[in-house]
Order: sequence, then C-alpha cells, then structure tokens
Amino acid sequence: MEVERMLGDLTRGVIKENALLKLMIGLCSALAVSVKVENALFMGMAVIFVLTSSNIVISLIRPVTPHNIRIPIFIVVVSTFVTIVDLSLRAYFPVIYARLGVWIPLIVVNCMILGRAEAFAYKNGVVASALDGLGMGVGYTLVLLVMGFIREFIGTGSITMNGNVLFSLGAGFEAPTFMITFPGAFLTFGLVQAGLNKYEEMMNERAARRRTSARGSGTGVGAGA
Amino acid sequence: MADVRLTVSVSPHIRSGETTQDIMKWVLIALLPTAVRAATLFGFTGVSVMAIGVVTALFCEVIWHNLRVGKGRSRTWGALAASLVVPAGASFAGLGTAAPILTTAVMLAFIACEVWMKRKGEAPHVFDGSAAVTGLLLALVLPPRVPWWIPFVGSFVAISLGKEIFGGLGYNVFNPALVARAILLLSWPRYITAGWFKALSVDITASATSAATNAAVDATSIATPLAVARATGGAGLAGFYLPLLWENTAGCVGEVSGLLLLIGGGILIWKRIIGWEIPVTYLGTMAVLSLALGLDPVFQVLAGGALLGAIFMATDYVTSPVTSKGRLVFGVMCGALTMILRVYSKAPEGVTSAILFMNMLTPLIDRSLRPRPFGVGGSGGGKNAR
Amino acid sequence: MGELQRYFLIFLGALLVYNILLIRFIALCSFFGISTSMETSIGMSLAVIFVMMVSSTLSWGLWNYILVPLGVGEFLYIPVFILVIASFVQLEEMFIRKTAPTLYRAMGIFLPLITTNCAVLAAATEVAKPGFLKMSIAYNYTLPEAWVYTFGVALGYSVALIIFTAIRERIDFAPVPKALKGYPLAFIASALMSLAFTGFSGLLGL
Repeated sequence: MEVERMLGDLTRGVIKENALLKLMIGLCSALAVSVKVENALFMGMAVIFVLTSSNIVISLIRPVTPHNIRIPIFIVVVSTFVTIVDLSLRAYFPVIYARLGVWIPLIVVNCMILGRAEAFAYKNGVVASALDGLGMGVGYTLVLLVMGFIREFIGTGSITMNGNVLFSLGAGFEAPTFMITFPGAFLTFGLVQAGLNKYEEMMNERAARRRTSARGSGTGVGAGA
Repeated sequence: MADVRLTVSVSPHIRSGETTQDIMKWVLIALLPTAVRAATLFGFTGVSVMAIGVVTALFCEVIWHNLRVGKGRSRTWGALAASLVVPAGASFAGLGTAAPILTTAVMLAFIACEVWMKRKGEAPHVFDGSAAVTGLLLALVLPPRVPWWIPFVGSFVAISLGKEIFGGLGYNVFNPALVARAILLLSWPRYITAGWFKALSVDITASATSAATNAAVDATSIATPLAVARATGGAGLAGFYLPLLWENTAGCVGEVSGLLLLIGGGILIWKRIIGWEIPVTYLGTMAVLSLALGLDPVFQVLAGGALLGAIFMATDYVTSPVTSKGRLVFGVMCGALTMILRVYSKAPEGVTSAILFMNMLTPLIDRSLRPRPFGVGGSGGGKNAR
Repeated sequence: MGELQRYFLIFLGALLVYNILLIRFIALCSFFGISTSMETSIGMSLAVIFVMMVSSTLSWGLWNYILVPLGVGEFLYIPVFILVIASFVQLEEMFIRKTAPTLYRAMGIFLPLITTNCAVLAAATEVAKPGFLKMSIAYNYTLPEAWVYTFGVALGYSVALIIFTAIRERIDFAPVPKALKGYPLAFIASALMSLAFTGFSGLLGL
C-alpha cells in the first residue's frame, strides 16, 4: 500500500538501516561532533535540512541529469544547501559555528548525503526521496544525540546547553575526561553499535522462539546463546 | 581434541611444553622483589594500590569468563553490580574511606565463590595468572598516592578493553596495563601526574637515601627525577643514580628500585621467558640516543618507567613481534620513540606512548618480516606474499 | 624559525600530531570500508596521495588567484573546491584508463571513491583557507608549505590505514562476543590506535 511504503521509507533510516550504525556512512562528522549534546543537536538539524532538501531537488532534476556527470551535479546541489547552512549558522549562532568548524563544509562530502543521493534520490520519486532523507537524517541525529549524551554526561558530569546546565552529577563526581577525547568517541561509537547489535540479536532470538513455538515443533530448538 | 574442524589461528603454530601458568608464575616471581621493596618504601598506600589492582583484575577476568561461557549469569551480574554499587553507595552515605575495603571484600568474596565452585565440579575459571600480572603491572605504573578507585577503574579497563573485548589472552593488540594507564592519564590527569610520595634531593650528601619514612609532603611540590632533570637542564644528575637503583620514592610504584627490576629481568631472560632482544635494544637505543643528544645515558635509562617498560611491558608476547629480527626492530624503535617523546614533547613520560605505538605496528612488523619459507625463492615474505 | 624547520614542523604536525584519521576523524568512511585487505589499503593510499597533492595545488591556486581577488571566496569555496576535485578525479580516471590500463584495473573502484573522501576536501580547504585546523604554527601557506602539509596529511592517512588493516587482519581471527564482532570491535581497536597517537600531542610544541 502506498502509505505503508511511504512509512517504510521514512522509518527505515531510523533504526533498521541507520546510516551510521548499519550503513556506516557519515561517520567522520558524527564522531567529531558528538562531544556535546548541543553540537550534536545542531549538526543533526543541519544534516536533516541538507539531506532532505538535496534529496528533493536531485529527485526533481532526475530527467535532466546525464548519468556520467551526475556526481558533480549532486555536489553542486548539496553544496548550495550546505552554503545556506554555513552562512546561517555563522550569522545566527556564531558560537556553534566556531565549534562545528570544518565539519560544516564537510557535510558536502558527507558520505551519507552523496550516498543517499546516488542510491535513492536518483532513482526514486520526490516524495519517497524526501521521506528517505528525513528518516536518514533523523536516524543520524538520534545516534548523534545518544553519543553526545553519553560522552558529555560521563565525560564532564553534566549537560549544558546554551550555557545553562541542564542537569549534572554534582561537583564531587570525578569525570573521566577520556570520554570527550577522540579515542573516547571511537569507543563510545563501538559500544553503541555493539549495543544495537545485541538488542537486535535478542529481538531476533525472541522472534525465532516465537516462531518455533507457534509452529508447534516440539524439538525445543531455541536460539543458541 | 576429537574435533575434525580446522582451526584457523594466528601464528606461531609450534608448541613447547610451557603453559601460560608457568610463564606468568615466573613473571610474578620476577616482579616480587620490586613489589616487596615498594611495600617497604610506601607502606600501606603502596600495598593497597597493588592489592586493589590485582584483585580487581582477577575479579574482572572471572566476570568476563563467566559471561562468555554463559555460566552463572545471575550471580556474575550480581557481583558486578555489587562491586559498582558498594563504592558508590558508600561514598554517598559518607563512608568514603570504607569504600575500598568494602569493594575489595566484595570482589574477593566473589572470586572465592568461583574457586569454590571449581571444587563442586562446575566448569571452573582457570586462573592462568595473566590477569594478576596485568593488575600488578598496572599498579606498578601508578603513583603511590592515588585514590583507591584509580587502580580499581584502571584494572577494569585494562582487563576489559585491553584484553577480553578482543577475545581474551592472545588476541589483544595493545598491552593491557599500558592501555589502562593511557586512558587513566587522559581521564584524570591530576591524579596520575601527581601523588608522588617524596622528593629526592639531588645532593646526595643529604640523607636522601634514609628517607623511607612516611613523611607526608605536599604532592604538588614534589618532582620526579625526570621532572627535575628537565627543570635543571641535566646538571648533576649523577646524584640520582643510587636512589634510582635502590630507593627511589619519587616515582611510580614500580620505579622504586632499578636494581631489583634488572634482577627480575635477568631471571626472566635466564629462564627464557623473555628474549634478550627487546630489553637490550630498547635500553641500548635509549642510551645511544641520549649520548647523541647530550644527555646522561645512565640517568635516562634508570629514570622513569624505562626499565619497567623495557623489561616487563614491551616484552609481552602477544603485543610484540614474533620473530627475532622483528623484536630487534621493535626494541630499537621503542627506545627511539621514548627518547624523542621525552626530549621533544611536553609529556611527562615517553614509555607508555612509545610502547603503545609500537604495539600498533607489531602486526605490520610480523607481516613484513616473515621468515622465508624453506624452498621458496625470490624475495620471500612481505606484503606481496598473499 | 628557518624555512626548513617550518616545513619539518608542518609535516610532522600533519602526519602524527594531528593525524587526519585518528586525531581529526576525517575520512573515516573509507577507513573502515577499505581496511579489510592490504591490497585495497595500499591502493587507496597511493591514490589518495596522488589526488590530494594535485587537488591541493589546484585549490591553492584557485583561492589565491581567482577567488580572493574576485571577492567571492567566502561563499563559493565549497562548491569550487569540490568541483575541482571531482573533475580532476574524473579526468584522471579517463587518463589512466587510456594510458595505463593495468593500473586502472588495479585501482578499480577507488578513483571515483576518492571524490567523496573527506580528507581530500579537508586538505584542499586548509591549504587555501586556513583557520579550521588549530595548529600552533602560523598558517598562511605558501605553495611549498601547502605541498609539505598535504603530503604529511596524505602520508598520515596511508600510515594509519595500513596499520589498521594489519590490526584488523589479526583481530578477525579472534573469538569475540557476537554483538561485538566486526565493526564494533574495529571501532574499539581504532579507539586504542587513536590513544596511541595522542601520545604525540605537544610534540615539538605543536
């Protein structure tokens, strides 16, 4: 059904085919930016904007895009939107802009944006592409937020946004600053990915067990640990 | 083993009669003199750092073993939770000072429980001694007056991140104790670069060598020999020789006595537990480079963690090259890196980073310096051999 | 500070202290995707070195002689640099296919892949419009300095990639819990690699 397919396009990018954890694209920015929840939030929103917009445009201009120069054309489209983000951030949120630094122009080559453009937007309709972009962007932002939360909370003992402390563990907490360093980012990401794998493993086991019991086979074949 | 399946594993494939236990036993024996000396010099503080390090390492290893094998899940998770909740609860309840004792008790209780299970016939966890070695080595590279939870967290990190997560003994790429130390340094630099026990005065006519008392001195005003050398520009360092060899109270727990470390190293080489290549090339390169850079070679070799690192850390089988030629390269580069980092960077000590970096290069070294298989002509091993 | 000393510092900074992969996280997608076998890693490294050197030269020239004089630098640099890189890679691919078909077959998919290699764009951007990388030495690169810098970055990329491939080949044999197998463990291994590289921070005052 049409609505089902649209829903699928939207939700696919959030967990099942999460760009960062499953497709492994767009990593560079994710690891560097997830030091603070605030940064993660802004980067996520920037990516959602760029991804959705460029997916829409690329899908729209499909008929006039020759195959062998499609990559430069994608890049022009994406960089237009990235420039919009770059200039807006610089004007309205200079502190965030300074912190995000080189990652804003690097959104252009963010594997995720070009990857989705190539793999999806170039081959599908406008609505589907828009939903895909939105879903992927949301999935990306979610992972970024989780990582940012873990790293900032454990690494500094508190979460601050816009200079206001949202909540903190108090001054007595000796925060392992390792978490906000680069190795800590790798570690957090690996553990988050492992966590997701473990979660899916358990879900699959449960589903398999339900299937075998529903089928009524008495051999008691459970999922091996 | 009745399995007919083929096991794919990493080289080397020739086996001798030694077990891991034998090897670890000798390493512990070699470290014993240093540990005892540290205990006499640092008193209760030193002993507790070492004790917590070792106990936590054993505890952590048992937990990983149980979870991996799938035995006794509930009691394992319970023990892990207890070991974390007890100190947290104690601190919140204001019983901060009792926290280490309570936590150690919990961990020891669990370990004893596991050992008892062995008697009941359940699949036991075989303590091959490698965790104890890792825990002790970590304790030896920490300053003596660190908060108790530093070796606690450190051992957890060493065993979990440095060893078990990679698949257990034999599969880790980096030296577990050094991984933990590096992470601790990045996490709580205040505690790892301070907490020295007592300074040594450069003037040996003062009673520096009779200083084995618990004179509590403000931690921030104490400098390790290396720091002093950096500050004074390397003059008059000969005064440090004797203390560094025998009674160094201004350094990490394992840096108390160069002489005892060397004796330990001698034992290991005599028992053929470690090869001579790495310690000799490591320390030799350091000496040569310090001469070339106009520094005091004897001081550089004795100061800091060089002896401990060259003899006990860099020689770890799993994380150093397999071939003799590879080990020579490894030792030379470790020595070179240590000296470069000591002289040219702001870091307090170069040994940790140097060894970790070379650990990283070991798979490459092993790959490139493969001995030529008999009968194969041409250039033999190397990247193109696959 | 002599010119040679400056070159050395720039090179060392780009290669070790601010290693592009392990300290700055740029080009990670390729890092994890290509490090499964040594041939592909070496191939990619060579390709990256080549493309980076040329594109940095081009972008430096463009910035200093066209974009800035025309005053459009600030908001056109993103598309301009990227287009330069993409076009150059395209040209290079066609050129190699005609003149050295064996090399082309060996490099295979990597040539088009380099277009999206964040590292190439990052290096190109930095030699022209510095300010993103906070190295302590002053940076308004002259052309030779740009070359030194780019070569350092490219070599840093290659070194990290090759080391990581060797490590991955080894940990692939390990009995790891299922949830951790594959990429999660690779990430943790690279966490420790990054840890080893942070030992260089502060080297020579960088």
